[in-house]
Amino acid sequence: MKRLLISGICLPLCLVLGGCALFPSALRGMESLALVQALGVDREGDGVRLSMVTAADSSRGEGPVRMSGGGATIADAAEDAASHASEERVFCAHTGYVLLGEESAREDVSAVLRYICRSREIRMDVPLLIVRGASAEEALLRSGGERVGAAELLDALASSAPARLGRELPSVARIAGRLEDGGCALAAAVACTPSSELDGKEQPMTLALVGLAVLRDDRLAAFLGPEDTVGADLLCGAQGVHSFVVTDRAGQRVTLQTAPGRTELNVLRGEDGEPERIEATIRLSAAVVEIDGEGALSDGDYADELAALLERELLRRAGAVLRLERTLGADLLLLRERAGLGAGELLPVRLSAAVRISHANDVRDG
Amino acid sequence: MMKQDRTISENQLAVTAFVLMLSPALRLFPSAAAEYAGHSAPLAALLAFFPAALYLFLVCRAAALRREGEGLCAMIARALPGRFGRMALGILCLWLLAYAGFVLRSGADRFIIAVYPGAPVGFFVLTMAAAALSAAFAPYRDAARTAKLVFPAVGGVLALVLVFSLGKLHADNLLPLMPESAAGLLGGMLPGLDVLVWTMCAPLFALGEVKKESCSYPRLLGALAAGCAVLALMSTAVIGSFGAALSSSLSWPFFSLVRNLVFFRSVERAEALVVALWVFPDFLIVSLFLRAAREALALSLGRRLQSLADARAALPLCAAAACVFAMLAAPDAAALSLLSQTVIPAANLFFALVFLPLILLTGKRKGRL
Repeated sequence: MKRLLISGICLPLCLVLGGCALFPSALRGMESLALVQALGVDREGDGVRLSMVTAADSSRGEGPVRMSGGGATIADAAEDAASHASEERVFCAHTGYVLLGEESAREDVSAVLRYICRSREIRMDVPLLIVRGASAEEALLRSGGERVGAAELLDALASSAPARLGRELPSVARIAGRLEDGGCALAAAVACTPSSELDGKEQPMTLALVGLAVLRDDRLAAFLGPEDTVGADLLCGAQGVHSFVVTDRAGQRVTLQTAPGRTELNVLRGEDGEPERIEATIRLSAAVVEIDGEGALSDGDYADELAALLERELLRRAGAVLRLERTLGADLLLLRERAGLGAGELLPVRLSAAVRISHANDVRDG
Repeated sequence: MMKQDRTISENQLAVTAFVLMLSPALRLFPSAAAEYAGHSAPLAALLAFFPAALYLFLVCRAAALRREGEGLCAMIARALPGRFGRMALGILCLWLLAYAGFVLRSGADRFIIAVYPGAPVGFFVLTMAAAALSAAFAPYRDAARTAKLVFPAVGGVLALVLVFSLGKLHADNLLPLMPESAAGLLGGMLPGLDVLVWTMCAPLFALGEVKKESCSYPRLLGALAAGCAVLALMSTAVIGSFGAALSSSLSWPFFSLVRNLVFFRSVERAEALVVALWVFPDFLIVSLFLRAAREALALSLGRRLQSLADARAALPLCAAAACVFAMLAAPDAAALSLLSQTVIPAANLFFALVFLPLILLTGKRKGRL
């Protein structure tokens, strides 16, 4: 009891040591802080342009605050942006996303990663996103409208990432760690596109997930488009939910949606015990979402035909990513490590797929 | 009136060693082990148990050689009664003060990095030195009781951090374990061994207040196994989250990990609280070493000057010396990094594995122990 009491005294004392304000005069109201939610970094000549956006405050009917500043370094640019803000203090400790423009990423990503790893305020597990075809400033300051800003759009993207990419948005810590360990990493790629929703007469810009960005030797090396991103997920454990359109023998278009499955990796070794190649088998089930005509799923042959068509499609997409790996000479998907081999040369991969058509979404065809 | 037990119990001894371990464990282990052993560092921590268990056996044997009320300094004086003994105690005194100074400096660095950027080092060094000095006037058993009191808070927070970090782990940061990494494992054991042998040596200075039967090997072996498990879990959490290469390049990877955690989907950014809590292990180390340094100083000065060193004024002098070391030895981040990663661990291993065993063995061979 005594020990518990003393522990109870120790912890509040630690709050004081932890930098919490003791006196009312030192307290700051939330309304005096600009709580930055997303941060964008772009190269600008020899310097840096930093863009910041806060979340919209719906309770007070206030839209997001958008700021931008330039300087020789990221910290310098942050000070410049903060010095022109109307809030008493720009507070970056709750930053949830960091964006990097494509042009800047093609030059170097390490400066941003190092800045965040050193930062006392920004967490290392914030996702890093590469803006495809635009600058981070454009993505942060022009997307959204008066009531919704980039922070809210990015929140929505983060929620949909596991289903669309088959993984959470890769974080700064994850990317920095992979770049240090293996020299290559994958980051999420977003694009600033016109929104499908109309806001009055205007069509505002929105942010959309457009696949993955391949980072190699601290630079953006390539983008994996939506098709390749699905292929990457299929090779990495098939955890996403993806839709595929195949054409059956009767010329009907059939939409199939896969459920999270698994990817089995086996190493085939030569007579000398050295690994010769990796065998990857993608196993998943799929549901029929739409048939452009009459379907007969009760006919086992038709289900087998759809499964075979889907398997071919899966192999095509996964194969395309493997070819890209060979071109870049990088084990992007960590197949070696996941197959239980240490780092080393890329091994040939033999792909196979096993698909089961599970159901037809509440319609008894045939 | 009921007579109070004025000795340190076995339980108190084990808990004190555990709390003392937490300071070097966070400072040195995750990044140094990741540097040498890569993602096999957790395994290296577990393997360090075997040489550490052997060392613990020797420590228990050495502890059995003491007389009633005799601590490590007094044992050294008995083992080497002449000029060499006084010289050895003088060297030990300097090492203890240097180590206490380093802990003061490193604790200040932790606060400056995580909570108070740009704050003066001297403020933290002097405040901690003053707190530790007031505790150093009390007997060792008070430090042991303090360790038992803070253990639930420090241990509880450590457990909470480790549990919540499970969600941040990436399997490919920890696997696969390859036979080729065996050489790295040996290197990775060194930081773990450094932390563990130091943890076993430090409480020896308080042996004078430990019950003679309180150094039973099997019971302390359990505490050592718990220490190894904590080191392994800590490196699993850090390396599993950041990967080996990034972990080895971070100054305080454990606090970076805490910075990333969200507790119960609502509480985050608790690193300042955790950094503040780690004041207690530092406080215990500094107070224990100040007191031990005064003992070593008193015994090293010989009979004529012993009363001077025995006087209460000697303790503030020791504290001042530790502060001077803290302020001068690491004026910048590069010097502190060199001290933290190389000089102090190497000196630690030298004192724990060469200096002290050599003296005690000599005393044993000459029949003085």
